[in-house]
Amino acid sequence: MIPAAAASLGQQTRTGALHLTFERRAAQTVLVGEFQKAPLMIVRPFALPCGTLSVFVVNPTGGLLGGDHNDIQISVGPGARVLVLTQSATRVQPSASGTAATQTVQLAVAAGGRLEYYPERVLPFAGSRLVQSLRASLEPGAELGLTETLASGRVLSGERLKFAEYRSRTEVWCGPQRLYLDQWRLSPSPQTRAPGIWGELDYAASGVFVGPGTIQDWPAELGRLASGLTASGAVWLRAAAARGPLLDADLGAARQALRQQLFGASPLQIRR
Amino acid sequence: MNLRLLQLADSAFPSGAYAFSDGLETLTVRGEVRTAAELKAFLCGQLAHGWGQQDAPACALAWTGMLRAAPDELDALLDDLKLVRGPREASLRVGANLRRAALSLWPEELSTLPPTRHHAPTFGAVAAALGASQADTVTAYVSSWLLGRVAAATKLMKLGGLDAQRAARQAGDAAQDCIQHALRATVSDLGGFSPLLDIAAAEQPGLDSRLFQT
Amino acid sequence: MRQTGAMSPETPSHLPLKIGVGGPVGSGKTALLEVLCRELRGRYDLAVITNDIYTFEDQRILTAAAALSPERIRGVQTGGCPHTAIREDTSLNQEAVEALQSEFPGLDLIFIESGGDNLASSFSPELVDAWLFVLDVSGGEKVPRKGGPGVRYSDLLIINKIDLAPNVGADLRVMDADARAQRSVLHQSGRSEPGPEQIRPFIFTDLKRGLGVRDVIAWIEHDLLFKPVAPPRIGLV
Repeated sequence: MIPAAAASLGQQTRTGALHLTFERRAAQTVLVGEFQKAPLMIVRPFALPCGTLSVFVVNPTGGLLGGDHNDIQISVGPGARVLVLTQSATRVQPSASGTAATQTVQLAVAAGGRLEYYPERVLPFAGSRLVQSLRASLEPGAELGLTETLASGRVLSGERLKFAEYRSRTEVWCGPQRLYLDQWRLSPSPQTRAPGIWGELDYAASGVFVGPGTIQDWPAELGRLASGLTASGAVWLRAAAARGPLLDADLGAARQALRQQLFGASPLQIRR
Repeated sequence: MNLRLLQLADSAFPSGAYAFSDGLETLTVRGEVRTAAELKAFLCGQLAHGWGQQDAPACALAWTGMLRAAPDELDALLDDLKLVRGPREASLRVGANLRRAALSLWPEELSTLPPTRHHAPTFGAVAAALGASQADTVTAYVSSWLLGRVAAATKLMKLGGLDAQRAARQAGDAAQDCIQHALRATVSDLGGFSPLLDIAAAEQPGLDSRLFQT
Repeated sequence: MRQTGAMSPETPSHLPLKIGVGGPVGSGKTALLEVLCRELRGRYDLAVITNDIYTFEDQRILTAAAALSPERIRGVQTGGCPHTAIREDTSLNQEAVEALQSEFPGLDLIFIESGGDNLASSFSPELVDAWLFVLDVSGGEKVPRKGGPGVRYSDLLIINKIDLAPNVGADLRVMDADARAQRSVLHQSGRSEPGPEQIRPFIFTDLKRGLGVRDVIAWIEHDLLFKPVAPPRIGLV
């Protein structure tokens, strides 16, 4: 996925890598293997009160530039419980040549393992392009929670829908069966403000959850958040809001409801 | 223009499509689409970012037969990409009805019709077997969607028939862009961005009273 | 009237008789179904498909009246096109028929109730084996004279709420004569006095009090199911 053209132009692009392997050892989840290549790195993992091991991904350079590539691989062994968060929003900045920043995320969860990946939102700057793909491979009995959040731009500075392209493909597989496929592709146009698309809102989120429980109480907020089952039985989530904190609150409540019903998990208590 | 394609795309063709609004009913009930201008904006939005980025290319790709996309692959993609159950099942039901009606009318021409399930690939595959060109097929498919939406809108909104047709006409450029995009699309392009309609479509079954199935 | 197509191996050996129930809003379609279900459910394996325009109201009424168990009553929304769903494009009702047949393979009868409509509606022969049309007296005595496919060509015309006739100044004898004229099979070929065997059946009812229900059931059993029972009495008796 590293854009060869950018490299041949001699552009200053970076390839960050983060490969993490978690396993359950002596009733605890531990990070047993790691490979970090700047600008991607993690701060030291710590266990939450519920026993889930939490990891913050950090990008000290302030974001992704056109031409940059991030390669994230996370593997979770049987019985391990892992929560991966990012420390701050992912800022996507344009390159002079208009090349896209790219990110690939590969997740693997073994039977009885649980991986949750809730990165902070993506803020695409004017002229920027981001192409990302996430693929999760689950063994039967694995648990997964993913959310993805997009802002229309640097909303607080008044920069909205000025980015060139946002493309994000998310697939979840259990063995040979695809449980979930979603592809957000957005090149802003005057129609992006249409009713049914984004209206006057500036934040949107999607998510997918896989777990053994059944949902009795579907997360829903009129006109702001909905959830349901995909054709293959994964739980999907959609949300949109005018303001970031409102989206975060809706999303947080929905996550908690789904984690509780699907995983039988107690609420996450995250220290930032 | 192929006479059989016009018949296939006509609103009177018995596919049951008239009973589905695919979320437009919720948007009108919520007051988000109330005027002819808002209807036009809704149509253009769906053509540019929603339905037009998923179903129109699926129709175009199905027309090519096995050349650019196997029909079962397209159906499997639509199963997943149509997250919300109502529109997903509507697409399957209309697809099955369209297929059944077409097979009953043109048994010989469609004797080797590949198996299709969703509406878009069924329309594309049937139209190809009936001898319609790819551009005509996608044009007819997009047009029948557009006119189906505005017909639904006259029942959901305070909107006259002429105003509804005008909204469809004003969405003409967006429809042309959508058709051109669909004709160039590959399987990996299927997708879009329509979070508010997804949410609205998921809320449809909860409406107190409703005209449409989805 | 039953489907007599060649039996292929896939054709179920037992096909239910499908009866359409049409008529204007408020004429008594749901009341008729309620009473028919109650009277017939002991003898026949029954199901009902309702085509409400806007809600699941009829489905709810029938379920609440415990006329049938809820899974035997299917609601179909018609996108505001009640005509279309029973006439030009019956695919959604066909889906409901197939779903009921697969869930209840022994069904004898399926009633398909149209969403309340006007005098112009009629059922597709692709959907039903026979259909009846329910009018009521409160619309005035002139309604049968106005004709339309329901009044003329339905397999059974029911003129309901005859108890209201004095209140609305309707003369049942006029309605009887007009219905006979409209429903004369040779009406259009110009024969002036057709015999009674050439009149499509029509029955006056007061469903609230059960008047005429016996004849509606006789029509179903004698005319449609070919049971050895007395035929329905036609018109004013």
